[in-house]
Amino acid sequence: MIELKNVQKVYKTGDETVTALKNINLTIQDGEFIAIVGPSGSGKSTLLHLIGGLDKISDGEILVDGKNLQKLKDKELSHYRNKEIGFVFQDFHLQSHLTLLENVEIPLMFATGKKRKEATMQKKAKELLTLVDVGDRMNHRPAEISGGQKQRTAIARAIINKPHILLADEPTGNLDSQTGKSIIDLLKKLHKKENMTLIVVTHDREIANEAERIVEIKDGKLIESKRSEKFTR
Amino acid sequence: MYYRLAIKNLMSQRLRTFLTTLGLTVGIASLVVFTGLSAGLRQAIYTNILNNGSLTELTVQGKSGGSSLLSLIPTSQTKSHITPQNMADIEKIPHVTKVYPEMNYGNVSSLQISIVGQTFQTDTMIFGMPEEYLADTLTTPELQNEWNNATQNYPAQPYPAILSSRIIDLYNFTVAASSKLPHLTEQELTGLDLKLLPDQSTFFNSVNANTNPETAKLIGFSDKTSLIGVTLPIDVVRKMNQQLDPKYQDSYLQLYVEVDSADHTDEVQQTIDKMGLDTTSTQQQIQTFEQNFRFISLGLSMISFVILIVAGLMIANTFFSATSERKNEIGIFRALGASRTNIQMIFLTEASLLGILGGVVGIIVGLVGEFVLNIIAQKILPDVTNKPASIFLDNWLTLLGIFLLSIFLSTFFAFIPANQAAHLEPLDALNE
Repeated sequence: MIELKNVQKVYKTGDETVTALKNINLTIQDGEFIAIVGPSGSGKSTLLHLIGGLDKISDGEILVDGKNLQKLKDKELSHYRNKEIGFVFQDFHLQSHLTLLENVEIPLMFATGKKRKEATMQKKAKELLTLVDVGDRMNHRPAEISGGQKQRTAIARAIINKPHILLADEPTGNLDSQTGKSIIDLLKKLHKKENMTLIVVTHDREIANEAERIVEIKDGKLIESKRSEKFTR
Repeated sequence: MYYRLAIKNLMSQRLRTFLTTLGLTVGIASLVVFTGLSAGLRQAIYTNILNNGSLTELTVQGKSGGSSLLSLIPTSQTKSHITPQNMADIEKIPHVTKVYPEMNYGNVSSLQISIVGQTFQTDTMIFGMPEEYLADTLTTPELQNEWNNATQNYPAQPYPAILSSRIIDLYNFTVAASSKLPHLTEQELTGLDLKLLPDQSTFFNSVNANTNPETAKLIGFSDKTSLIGVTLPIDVVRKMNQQLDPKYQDSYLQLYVEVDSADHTDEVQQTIDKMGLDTTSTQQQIQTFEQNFRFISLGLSMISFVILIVAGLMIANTFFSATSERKNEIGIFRALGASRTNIQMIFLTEASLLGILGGVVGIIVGLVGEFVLNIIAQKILPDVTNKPASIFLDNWLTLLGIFLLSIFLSTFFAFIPANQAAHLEPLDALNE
């Protein structure tokens, strides 16, 4: 379970202070699929980054399965990002000089604990690339595949460590509507199959309606948290 | 995976990798050449010193004396010679295994020699040495008999004679070179007749006397005999001295003292010094050489050090640039769970790979460089006695050390940029 209690995020740019998030209170149950919507600059990506442990809050608390992210040291936070969180970004963030297979293997490289053999890592990455339908392009580089295939690869990379929480920041933002829909279908499929908590940031209402709950943010404030039309019906 | 990733990263920046490796390669290659040269020169000089006497040998001379030309000339200021009693006392010193005397004819003489169709005459000294001390030259029973029988057959001539090995170098690079005469070898000269003119000198008219010329046959060359004279069997010289002045017949120019172990030379040397005699040892010569050679080694090391520091700064610069350019990659890795240590490891692995590459290529380039430089050196340097086959000397431990140094330097200079990369805030890096 993810709990946000009076979360506040303030950025300082020189003498100027910008409040990106104000007193956000939100609880996300395990296995829930949530869409965070709002206009550009409203603070939805900031919220995602805070949940993902990429950024630190200025005030309040974020508890993930009872763990206070504020109190985690860098090593623990890295472990949290590696094992419990999967990130999917709008512009894929694949390493251009690595093959799709190597890109998917990256999070395994940072996994602590049991040392994995290269062959085991490769086998796991191949299985996931096949699962997301890019198995036939695994030895290609990102420049040689389509946007949809890049995002599928990024999704495979995000779930290789079997995280509990999958965070997607505008995952269809750089894709055409049809490809975008197929990506959302893939995320939904994985969400159901692995029972992951899925949090998608989007400004696309149609995509947001695929979620079980929609959280709306405006000017850094949580405006509304409601069940989506699809699920209300 | 780190190495696979590092190789991919280095391959994706081929030109930068090449230039950085080139800097390191030049540094490592120069270090290989300089250490090889330093060790080679040391080895050559050691060989030269040890050819004149082993580490267990001491040379004993009369007080305030020496083996210089002037000190050998009999004048009123001549230093005290060594007596048979001195020799007997030294033989009794613990750890002394053998004492070999060297005697000189009590007056300056001249040597006349006919080679390459010309007759040369020069001032010379006549020395006498026992057969045992010249074992390196008198290797066959025939030569040994010839040496020993000369005493019994005295004054039958020609006497067997030995010259210093360096005399050929002296002839080849002074007389032959300036007069365009052919170079000579030991083999060509062995068996040559020598004409000795006792008590005759071109430089010291006062010593000239009407003595009969004596003949000798050159039977070999030795590193142990003096450069400034002809060496004959010691008893022949003793008998020649009897003819000249009986006071010389029982006085030695110097003694060569063999000690049972190099650990005891200091002790024996001190005992002899207390007897009022001067001693020098091969160990002392080596120590003096080491003191002087330290400056050469230091100079060569400083050059290598500066080159390696420049190469190291190039590596640091490369990784500072890489940190700046690869912020986004660092951010992605941090988002995917890389800890600060992981980020450091990624950069340091790349640096160590550069070190391995620079080390291997540098050592190969250095060894090839040594090979080429040695060919050039062999052509330029005169063919002197004991000239080494190579002026460079490498051993695998030094090369291994240089290889490890290459890896160490590379990772050392990449450490600060790697640390900087590791401390980037994940989100700031990701947003680059």
